[in-house]
Amino acid sequence: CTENFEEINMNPNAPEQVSANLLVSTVTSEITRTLTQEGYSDGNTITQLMAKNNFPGFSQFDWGDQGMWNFFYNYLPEINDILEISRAEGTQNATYEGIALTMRALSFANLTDLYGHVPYSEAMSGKSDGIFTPVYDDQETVYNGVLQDLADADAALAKGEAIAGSSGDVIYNGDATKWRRLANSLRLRYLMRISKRRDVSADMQSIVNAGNYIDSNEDNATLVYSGTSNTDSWPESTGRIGGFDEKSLCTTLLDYFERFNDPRLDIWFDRNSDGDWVGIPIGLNQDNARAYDDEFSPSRLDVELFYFSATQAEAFIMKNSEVQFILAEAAERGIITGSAESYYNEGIRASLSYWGVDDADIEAYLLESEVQYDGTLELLLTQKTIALWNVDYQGWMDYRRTGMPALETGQDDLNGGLYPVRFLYPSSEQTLNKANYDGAVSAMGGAGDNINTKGWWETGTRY
Amino acid sequence: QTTFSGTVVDENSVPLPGASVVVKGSTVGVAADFDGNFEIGIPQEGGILVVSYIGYIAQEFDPSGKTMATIMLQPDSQQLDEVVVTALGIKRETKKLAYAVQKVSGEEISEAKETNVVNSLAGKMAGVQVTGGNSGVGSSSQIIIRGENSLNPSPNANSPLFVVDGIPINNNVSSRGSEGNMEVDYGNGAMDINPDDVETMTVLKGPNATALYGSRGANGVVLITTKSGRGARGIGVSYTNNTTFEDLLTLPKYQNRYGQGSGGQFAFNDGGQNRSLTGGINDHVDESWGPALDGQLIPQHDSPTTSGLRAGDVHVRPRNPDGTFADEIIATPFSPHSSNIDDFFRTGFTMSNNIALTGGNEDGNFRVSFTDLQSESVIPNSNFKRRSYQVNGTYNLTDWLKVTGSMNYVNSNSRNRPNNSYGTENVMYLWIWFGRHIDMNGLRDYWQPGLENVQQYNYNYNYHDNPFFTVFENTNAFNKDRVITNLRADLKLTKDLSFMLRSGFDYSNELDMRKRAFSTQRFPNGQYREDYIYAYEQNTDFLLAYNKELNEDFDFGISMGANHRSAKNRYQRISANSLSIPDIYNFGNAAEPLTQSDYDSKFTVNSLYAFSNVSYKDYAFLDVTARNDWSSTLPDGNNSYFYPSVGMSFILSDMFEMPKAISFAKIRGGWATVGNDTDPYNLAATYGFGNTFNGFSRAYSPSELKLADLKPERTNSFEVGADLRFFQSRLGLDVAAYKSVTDNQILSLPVSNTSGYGSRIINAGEVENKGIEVTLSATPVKTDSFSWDTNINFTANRGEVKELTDGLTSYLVKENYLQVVAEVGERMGDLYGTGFEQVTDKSSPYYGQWIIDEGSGLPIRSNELRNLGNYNPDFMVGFQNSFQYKNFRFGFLFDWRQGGVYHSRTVAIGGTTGMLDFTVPGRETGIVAQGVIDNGNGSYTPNTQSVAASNYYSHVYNRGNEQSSMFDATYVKLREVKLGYTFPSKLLERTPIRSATISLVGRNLALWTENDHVDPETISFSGGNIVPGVEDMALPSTRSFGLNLNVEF
Repeated sequence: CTENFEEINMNPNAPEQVSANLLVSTVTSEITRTLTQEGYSDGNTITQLMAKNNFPGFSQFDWGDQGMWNFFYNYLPEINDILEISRAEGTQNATYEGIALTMRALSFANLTDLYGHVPYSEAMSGKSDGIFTPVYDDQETVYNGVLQDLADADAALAKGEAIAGSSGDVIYNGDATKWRRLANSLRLRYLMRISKRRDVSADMQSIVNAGNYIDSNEDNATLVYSGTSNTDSWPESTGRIGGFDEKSLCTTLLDYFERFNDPRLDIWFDRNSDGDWVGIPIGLNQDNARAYDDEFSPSRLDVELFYFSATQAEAFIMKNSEVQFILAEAAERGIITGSAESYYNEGIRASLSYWGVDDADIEAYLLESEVQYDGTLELLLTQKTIALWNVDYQGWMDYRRTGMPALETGQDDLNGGLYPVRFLYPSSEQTLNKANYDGAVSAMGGAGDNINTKGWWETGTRY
Repeated sequence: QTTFSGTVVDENSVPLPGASVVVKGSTVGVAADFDGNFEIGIPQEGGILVVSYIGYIAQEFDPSGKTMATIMLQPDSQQLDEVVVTALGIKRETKKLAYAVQKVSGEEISEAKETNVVNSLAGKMAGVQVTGGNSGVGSSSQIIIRGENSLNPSPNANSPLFVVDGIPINNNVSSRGSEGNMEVDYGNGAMDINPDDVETMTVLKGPNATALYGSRGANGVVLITTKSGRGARGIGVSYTNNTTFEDLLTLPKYQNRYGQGSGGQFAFNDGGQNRSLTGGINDHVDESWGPALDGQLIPQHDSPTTSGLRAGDVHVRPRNPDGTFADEIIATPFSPHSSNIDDFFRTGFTMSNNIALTGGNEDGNFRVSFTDLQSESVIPNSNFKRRSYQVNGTYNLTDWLKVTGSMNYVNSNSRNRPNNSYGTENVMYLWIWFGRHIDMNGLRDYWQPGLENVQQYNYNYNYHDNPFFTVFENTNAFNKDRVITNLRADLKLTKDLSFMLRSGFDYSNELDMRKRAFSTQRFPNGQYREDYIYAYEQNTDFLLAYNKELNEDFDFGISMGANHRSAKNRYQRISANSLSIPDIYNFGNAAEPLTQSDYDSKFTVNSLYAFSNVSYKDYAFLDVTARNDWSSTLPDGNNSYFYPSVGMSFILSDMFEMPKAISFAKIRGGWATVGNDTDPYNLAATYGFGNTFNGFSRAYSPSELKLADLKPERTNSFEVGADLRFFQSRLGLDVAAYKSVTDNQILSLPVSNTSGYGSRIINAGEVENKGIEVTLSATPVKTDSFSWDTNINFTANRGEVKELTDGLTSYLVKENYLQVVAEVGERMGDLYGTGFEQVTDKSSPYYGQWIIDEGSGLPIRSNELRNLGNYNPDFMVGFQNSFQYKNFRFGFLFDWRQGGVYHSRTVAIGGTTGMLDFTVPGRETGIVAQGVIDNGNGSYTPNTQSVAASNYYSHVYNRGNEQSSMFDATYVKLREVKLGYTFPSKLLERTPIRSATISLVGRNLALWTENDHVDPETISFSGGNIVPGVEDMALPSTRSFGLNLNVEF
């Protein structure tokens, strides 16, 4: 009665095994695209580079889980699979291993930065250990793992193994040297982040000394969209013009730009139809935002760059400008040796040059009185925040760590005048992993699952 | 021997063809012909004739001294000797059954006709819950018998098995989203059954009744027997016409005081097409917090301009070099168009014509039938068509071999099926964002002049599509061919031993075609998509049956059989997500690489079964069944599973002397267990493919962890019941109580995605369903010319989650705005969502009130999930009445569903947009939210801060706060009203017409419920699944009125 049953029940639609390149393409494209999309809307909003004139809930701090939890945990299985394949006999490849370790570190760092305690040590072990309700680990534990992964990635990528055939890598097309630079640059980012808690100077100095980090725009971890379909186009270009028009220039950024006489203003934004540059304040409620919008017509984002072109705007994980500003701050704080000013100037050069400002104009910009380095972290971090335009939530992380540049809540804020410091856990965790969810909420302190509960690295006391 | 001629007629003098006439105590017998006439030889010594017909009280007639007579049979309203079709198509007397079976006759179904035959069961039977779809004629209906046994969220997991003439058919619900498109309801499989061809529909309710169907019968079985030529003599022709008109039964209650805009301001400029353009006020806003509709002059989309174009023709109006318009809008009065939504809809129309021929002689019979159904929905350009061809026939080749065959071909199609759920493709979504000042008729001309097929004309370009553009250009067509056929041979091997061999298949091929025109919000450069769905299932079975009268007291039967089932399915979707040239829907016209996905599956189930019936003195009965299945979907070692059932019944009124008032009393009881397999390919996880990116192929890791050693799931059930009749059967009471427990459930268990998977397949969970079904039937009045029959059925079912797995105490069944959670020890169907923070201190005078945020004056939202109620009803009641006066019949049916809650997204969104009637108060004055300020020391102060109405309503009805739009799902519906007239046979004597009836019918005529914006009986779709407990931009339900004409020649 059961003849041929096994054959009948063989799935003809999908494979049980795949090669690493098919997963590397998924991971590198989705993570890079999504991080930049997040930066473009909410990341830029929370640092007040742009503000919303419609659906303003986010800028009023009416927050939920904001989707990033599900995003990262949904791509971690692919990252884990790449790691497994790259370490298995027969398919061993140190470059894929380094790529997977780098992406894993990036994902978990984002998760803990955005949510606080997150499943880490027991995460992704449903299959291997039958754990379906992983415990949440504290931020310090996650950071230890993230830094270890990046150090391991550096070692693996140092071997410089070539990838045969299609690499699947939409960022560096399998170039181990460049991946190694990204891994080390991320180490610098995350070491700086925990520097209020820990003495990171030896680690940072040795990375700087070794020199294998991003120090030119050539090394930027960017994704250039090919624009062949909606999938590989700049996402905004495939949406409604009305959706594009829900964001405008924020008054806060306009103030910076006017102070600095900044050429990026004209690159990222359009003048309104009266020919003026006008911003809109963050944190207006729907009615007030609309009224403001009608009265003042704030500047929209550059429609040619950010809407009509499928390929001109790029996605990125990390660029040279950010690395230079990290080093500038580290030098200023005495964590590493070297001139804060020269790193600061390099950061500005890298950012302006990336956005197409020519060298003469860059040098002129550096001579602007308000731009010239004055040794204050406020100026350094203001310039860094501008340079972090579209770079996921990195500007917000710096604000949470340093309080700089100073930001104020908007007039219709729904968070009691507090500037929020984390997202809420997704409500599905309350149903699917309740005990550990409850444990994490109480371990983090604060009143329940709350957007005002600070994490480990921002409550350090070293500065 | 003398010859006697007679005519058998019913109580209305309509002939009863095929009525049986036998000489009592002999083997001499004949059947009446098509006109009810018969001739029979009477022995010399005389004899009594026994005249009988199914559903009528048999009558004894003494022909002595007569040569001709008309014999009138009276209907047996109680139908004690009713014969029903049971599992495997075996006909049995109801009185002998150990389980509950109910049937609906074809007449009942075809008179007040529902295009979807499943809807005909609504309210008519205890234990049966039918929920109709909301996309008009052709939409899905969901049927659940005795509650949900499965925690599986698939719409098909709790569906009963449908069997047509012994061949199981597919009843899958098909709604397909994705590729950026929204859900479209393409109907459920059983919808292809033509009501005109149905002789009876029998519902087998519990595992006891369905044990022989095994795996597939655990949720009950609906057995459909199609009409045949049985009993026919000569040729008969019947013609039925059913014509109905539909209009809206429900529509959200819109306000008529304020128009589009924000902060009381609005002026049209370019409809939000370019927000940075100066001029216009809030014309990108699609909410209704605008100016009062008091006739003030305001530029609007349909205002004229100095260029002669409509203001809304923004793509063709003359422009200045800086992009501003060179012409001027001439402001027009801003006034309400209170019937604008009504104006969009039209009167629906459904006409069905059936012609059937029957014929037969002593050797065989046949029936051919053709039905053409055409329906135009209340939504413009939405329709449904169905053509059904049916042939069946039986022939006695020899006196020991009979062959039967039937073939049913159905073509159904539509040029456009409406979109469901939340988003721009659904017109109900548009209405909840619409403006009350908009004249619907002004949108009918939906292209901008000179830009036909390229650019639509609309009142708003920021979010929305013109509704006429949506229904005429962005169509969801489909065409489906289906063949259901079977061949059967019956052999009489000896007097007691018979053998049946049968094979049949259900095959369907469907093509869905979706077109999206240029300038559609979701598809600025158009889209063309095709979905191809193929399904094939074949069943071959045999049955060897031995029946023997052992002695005066004992009857005995034993049968054994086997079934081989194999099924294949294929799904393919191809989509061009942008097009090069407008209005050409061909994949060659794709402007970007095509995206596609496809899925093939197949499986086989082999079964062996045996059953036995023993009866003692025709008052005590014992049934035993046993079945073993082998399923290819389960792993080696676990793929064979056995399950037995046993049932007993006793006719107490025949066993003991009963008081005179009791005319019949039967008790019954049984136990059954049923096994179940799973879907194909649930044993090993596989990778998925994604769209290419920058030329690189992409794959996804498995999102579901499979279980290599799956075991079959199992349902155990007990059932007891009683059937009591009083006062010459004028009053009847049928009671059934049951308990069924499903365990080892094969579930796709959602897990925290932090584990590396979104779900995993497990073998666990225990769901218990307990319920009571009561049917009370009575004939309070019965005279020669007038009778009144009434029937009340009552159903109460409680599903409880007894156990999950691995210490798990709750299980997320579905997530769609609300979370449907199964919690150990709780009822099935609990809904969880969020609400506002409330005073929880019971000793506070403000207990239960909202806590207001002092800064904003608005209630504080809490992120913590709370139980918002249960979507299952507490009980359901059907109340049916029919009156007969001479040749007139009048009947009506009420359907009452008590209890349960649901989340109305129409109310939630309509509250935030200011479109619904309850958002009018406070617009001029502001609103003080009812609630208290938390003083932080355990005390509270009543809130006094006034906020703008728009701010208040959009916060209170915010979609992230489901609690404020939860409603009681209780409703009472006047489901059916019929008035019929049968022409007296005398009047027809001189015509070729044998009988004629005409009836006026109405369905879903009235509704009483708490939330007057929508019909709580709606199905919401998400990801191809039915989502209970949520109403999501439901299309309005409709009522229908019509005429049914039946003529037989």
